[in-house]
Amino acid sequence: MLKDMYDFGVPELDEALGGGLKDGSVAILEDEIGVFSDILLSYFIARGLRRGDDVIVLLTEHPVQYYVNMINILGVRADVAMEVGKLIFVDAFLSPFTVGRALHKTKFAIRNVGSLSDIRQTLQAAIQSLGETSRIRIVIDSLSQLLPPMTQSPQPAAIFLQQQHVERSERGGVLLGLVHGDGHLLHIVRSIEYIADIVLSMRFSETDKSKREVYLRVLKTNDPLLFEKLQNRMFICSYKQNRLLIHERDKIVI
Amino acid sequence: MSDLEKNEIFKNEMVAPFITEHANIDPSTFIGEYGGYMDKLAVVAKAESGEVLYQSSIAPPLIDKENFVEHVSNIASYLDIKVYIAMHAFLDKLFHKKFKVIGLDSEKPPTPDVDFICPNRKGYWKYLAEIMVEVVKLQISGIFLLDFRYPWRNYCFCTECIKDFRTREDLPVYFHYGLLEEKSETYDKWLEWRSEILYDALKSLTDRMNSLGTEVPVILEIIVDPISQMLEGVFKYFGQDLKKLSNLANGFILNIYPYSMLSKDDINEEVFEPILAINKPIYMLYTKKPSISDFEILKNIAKIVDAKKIFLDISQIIS
Repeated sequence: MLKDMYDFGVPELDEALGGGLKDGSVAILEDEIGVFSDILLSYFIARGLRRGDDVIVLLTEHPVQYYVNMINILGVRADVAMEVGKLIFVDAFLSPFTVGRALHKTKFAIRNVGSLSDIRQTLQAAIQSLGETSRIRIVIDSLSQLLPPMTQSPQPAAIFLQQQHVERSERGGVLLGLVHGDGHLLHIVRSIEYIADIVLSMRFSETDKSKREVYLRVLKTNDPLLFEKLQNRMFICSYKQNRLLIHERDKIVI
Repeated sequence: MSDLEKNEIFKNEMVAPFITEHANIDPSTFIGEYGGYMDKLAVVAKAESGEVLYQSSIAPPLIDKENFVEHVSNIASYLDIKVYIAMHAFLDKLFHKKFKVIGLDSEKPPTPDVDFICPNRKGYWKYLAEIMVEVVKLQISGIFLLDFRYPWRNYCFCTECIKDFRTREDLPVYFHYGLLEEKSETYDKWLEWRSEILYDALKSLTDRMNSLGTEVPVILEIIVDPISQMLEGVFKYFGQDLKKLSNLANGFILNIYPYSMLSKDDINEEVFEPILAINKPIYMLYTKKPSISDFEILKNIAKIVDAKKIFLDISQIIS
């Protein structure tokens, strides 16, 4: 386990990535409807908590309890991690202000998910609340709410990622954001993927749709050596008995 | 001073091994060799680093020692050896940046302790309580709660503590240990307030344990050292009110001279009166390599306080 890397806790994936995501990086996980990308994100969160990292999870598409349950299933007590401030949820899914009362228990909530400044300020407040931290993981499910057709322009998402890029490279930690590749026009997805240091893709097999196999690929990495190693590799993901299994395609023996 | 051979130490019936995360041993080999001479052992389950040495769903594991406690506990159970778990409470490198304990003595800049955390953090109490809930499932005979105290007399002046204490007392916005000490009445209240925090923290832990219906005893570490005025000083230096804490703790483990060299001239019955008056089971802990004369002094103390065992840190003895 390398100190400046942020691993997923999925051995084959971590090994392929050279130990995980590099400190200071902004990563994007691109998915399509039906693949279990949220499980991979939960692994990333649970692994962080197991390592003693601070974790901030910004949710625009799920209630907090959804992730709490998944983290618990992975054998980590999310409630205790929240109590002690190691795990912070930023709720941008429920609208806590609409009926004049809080609908959730999170300290940090985003009133308007379309507002870049609201998102940034709330995220900053959550980071500040961690105090001095040496390792931080920021997970966003998902960035798609900041992209057309949910918003008018991809620019807010791009600016947000650029800011995160600067902040993470200066202050350390990683950001892993989910983007629904099938929810936007391709050029919009690509426009923000250009900003990321590394882009992973989880998609159903295009060749054999009937098998519904999920493939994971590394679409982009800023590390040329890593990209050379990964550009032609493809991993098959499966989720069985609460375990996420990732195997390199060629190594699968049927 | 000559050194004792490890055989002489571990074959002594007064001695029990204290196995820390630093002990570079294979538990099977060690217990296999000395198990016949032991009826108790202690193993660290939560290290100073904040990492744990067992399978936890709460705290991060110490790499390569994720099943260490389970392993020790299994072997010990075959030989009918009672296993005590030791866990560091407020010494936690994982949280020390988040919950800094701040020393403020005078007009000088505040000095955070490098490893201790502020005991006045209720969220952390819950974290500790849940760790205790996990460790009681490991077939253990007791929990040694280590460093359940303030690091020194001039702690804590973190923002939480200042805010908390100021709501009770009419104090200026800025105050520090030196100022408090000058105002004897306020100083007494401050000492009392610190001890209440430790009491409340221990109560939250024991309440959680009681909610499980478990009868695993909780044994609190007490520092006995001339630098901190022996047992008389534990209230002033570490915030521990022995009498009050004894209402919750099932016993005490005296950490003998962690800061100073042992000297037989300091040791007499009077020194230990405060703990003897409490009438709870007493254990001893010595974390240095004992010389022959040290060992004699330790045995003498054990006799005075009627200690159940002298736990010796094996990482100091077996290299």
